[in-house]
Amino acid sequence: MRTTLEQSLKLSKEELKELNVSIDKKSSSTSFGGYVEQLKKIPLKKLDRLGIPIAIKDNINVSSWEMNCGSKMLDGYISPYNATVINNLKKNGFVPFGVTNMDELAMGSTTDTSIHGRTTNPHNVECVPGGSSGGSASVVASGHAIAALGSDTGGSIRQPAAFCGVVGFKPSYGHVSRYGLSAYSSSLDQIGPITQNVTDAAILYDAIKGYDDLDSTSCNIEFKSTYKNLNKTEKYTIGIVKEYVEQCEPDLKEDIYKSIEKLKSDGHTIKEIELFDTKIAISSYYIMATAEASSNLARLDGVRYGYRYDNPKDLEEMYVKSRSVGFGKEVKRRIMLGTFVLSSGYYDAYYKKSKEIQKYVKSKFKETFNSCDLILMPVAPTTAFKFDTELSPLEMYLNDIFTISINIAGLPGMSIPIGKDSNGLPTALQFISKEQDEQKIFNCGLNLEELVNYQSDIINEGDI
Amino acid sequence: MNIEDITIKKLATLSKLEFKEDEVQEIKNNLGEILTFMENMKDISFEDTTTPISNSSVLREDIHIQKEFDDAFYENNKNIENNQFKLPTVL
Repeated sequence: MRTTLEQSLKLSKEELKELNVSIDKKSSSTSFGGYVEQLKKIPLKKLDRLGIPIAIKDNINVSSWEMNCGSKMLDGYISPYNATVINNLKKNGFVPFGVTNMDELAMGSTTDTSIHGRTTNPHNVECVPGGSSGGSASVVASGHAIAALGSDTGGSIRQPAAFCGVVGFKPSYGHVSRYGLSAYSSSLDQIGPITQNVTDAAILYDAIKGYDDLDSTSCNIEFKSTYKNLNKTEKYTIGIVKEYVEQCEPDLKEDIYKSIEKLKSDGHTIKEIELFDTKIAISSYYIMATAEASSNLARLDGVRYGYRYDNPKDLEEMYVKSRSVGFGKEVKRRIMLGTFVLSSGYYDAYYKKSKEIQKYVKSKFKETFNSCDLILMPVAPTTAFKFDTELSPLEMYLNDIFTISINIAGLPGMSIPIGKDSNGLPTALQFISKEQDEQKIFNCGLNLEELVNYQSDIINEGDI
Repeated sequence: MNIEDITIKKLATLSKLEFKEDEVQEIKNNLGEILTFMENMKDISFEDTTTPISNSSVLREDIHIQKEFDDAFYENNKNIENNQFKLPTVL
């Protein structure tokens, strides 16, 4: 029987010590590569402090830990400070424990672009764990972590959670401080929990959320406890976008429809709704995100930290060579795209248009939430696909069709596992609510969890 | 959308990146495919928009804090002299 986060709150100091030792031991022998330390074959990073261990994605600053964001460009970078989420964890009795692998600089959906190597899906090592928080999802799914933190800019918590059969939650924009999170797209990034179940997600979310003076986009509102207000008996009106469900592969589609029937039988009102063409949302997302990324990544220039090209002839060469060698293909592609859409002559046609679409997407969601409490959607059109599946960059981007619009609109969303396909890979769906209304997601998620009774079959090398 | 070599070179200069000849062709094709896909946005017009995000930046008082650089800061870069980063010559 695995220890959940909720159970670990009740452990004595001795039991907690045993738990930490057990995770350490189990993680030293894994082949999934969810932790960066596993890929580097070094001991898991930990603090000299007892607490409930939480695995941390490689783009969140933990003081004195090396943080690479999966990139050569940040090779050797030692965090000089804690991200606010880390300080919040510590205040609540949690401690960072291990660094999880990710797609380089959070740009990807496979966790196959990291400089440290690939992370595999614990359900099938030939398949991707999803990304960019694939390491976090993999360690939780495989029993090598009780819970983990990830970050979500276009689905990077929810999609790997779906692929690995765990719960992944992206909060409303501004609910969790971004101070200390390595920026990809500042108006879209959010840190969130990846956990074994919905209750654990509520506990971890409560620990990390809150207003932060150091993040000017942080919401200065009254935050109530999500965990203490969990109520699985509340019934909601749930909007279903049938057109989206129909785009999924057969087994996934079947499981989603089964879940909808279960929710209906349990007393929820199911309503068919229409949203918008996902293609325009994808276009808008990839313009805004890459534009912001091209600006954010300008700071990675080899001057103050990270990789610097050896013996450049002048400053210009130092910049160009450091960045050209330091960044991987996908990162360079996105920087180029972002630079293009912001450049003179193209700004109006692309960037300005993408902001109009953002407003449209937001207003469509707002209109929908006038008549629905929640929206139920797929997380991805497929279950976890195999590594080396030949997909062009555009085809890879199109995998994000169901997640990115939630980021564009700044809404909260949660991925919940609901079954397995005929290949034994997890299937999942996501709930979305209006801004700052996440309690409904957690309540309904808890209810659905009980109705589907998803059981992970990954138990190996003893439980933690 | 057809991207020209000269556009790729210009973007690379702005991005402080360089590409080998074979990489130029690949990135041209990739960007071309992506931008062609994005053409789907062009024919859609929306009502005049204000900022789509309800959050706004909160300005705080500009207070000077004297901060000593700790060891972790210096660990990140050995090329420091007299509290300045040492870099190759500009010219």
